[in-house]
Amino acid sequence: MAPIVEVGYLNYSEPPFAETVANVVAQGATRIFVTPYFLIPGKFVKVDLPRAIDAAQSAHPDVTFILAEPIGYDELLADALLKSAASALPHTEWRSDLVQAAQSCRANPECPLYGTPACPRQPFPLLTIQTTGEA
Amino acid sequence: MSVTTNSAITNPVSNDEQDSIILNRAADASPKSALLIMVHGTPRPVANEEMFRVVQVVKARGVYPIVEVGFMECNAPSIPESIEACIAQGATKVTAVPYFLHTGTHVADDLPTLIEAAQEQYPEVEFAMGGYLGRSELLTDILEARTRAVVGV
Repeated sequence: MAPIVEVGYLNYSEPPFAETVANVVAQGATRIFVTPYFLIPGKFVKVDLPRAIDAAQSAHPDVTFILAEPIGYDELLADALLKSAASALPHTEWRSDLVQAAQSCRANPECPLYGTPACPRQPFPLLTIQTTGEA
Repeated sequence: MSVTTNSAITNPVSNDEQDSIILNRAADASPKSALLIMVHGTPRPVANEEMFRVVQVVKARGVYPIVEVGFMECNAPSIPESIEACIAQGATKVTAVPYFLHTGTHVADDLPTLIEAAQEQYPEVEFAMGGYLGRSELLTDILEARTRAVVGV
């Protein structure tokens, strides 16, 4: 398989797709296989990703881009669903992902949760005012 | 006795078939377990087709007598509607599984909120929730297969 493996995001998270492309080109990549980590061939896969690849192709005309299919249908997904159901969590753990989210995301003004009480990183505006007052 | 004879005449069934009818009735009377697959939804509904194929495989495995799909947004039925459908079919336990790759706000907050609301609305039903799809290491195998399919092109 590919000697270089990197992740690039289409929105909100970092690094963005274009930055990852520049990064793997800097590592010497001449062919880039783009495998969409998307469950369905929706707007991101059908519209946004081809646009991002077109832009990357213009920025790196000597590099060959090859787009793979998204996850789509796979019998392994049925296995994954049934395994997940078989080890269903007690209700006390339904929100553990919310608690853990703050460890892996950062405040990003482009995120829909930025500046809202739901954002695990950005302090609720009221708290910001309070902190300023104390300082 | 005459009733039995009459029904045997009007509706002749073999002993095996009778056994199977009794077994099915026993299954009907026992607690029914439902699997609720919670899906994001898409403004491009044709994009759901492959997900529905996966759901067909889940149904064919026969682990859950009731299998329903509920959408978070864009498509119908909604998650509360699909929970209602499970219960209308006699579900006494509903296990909800997020058909999601990431722990975004839907998985972390919205889906638990919907299941908690359902638990309040149907206190006699037992609700459980599984981890989201992205937690499964099987995703690695799928990504590798998708990539291998174009390597060498």
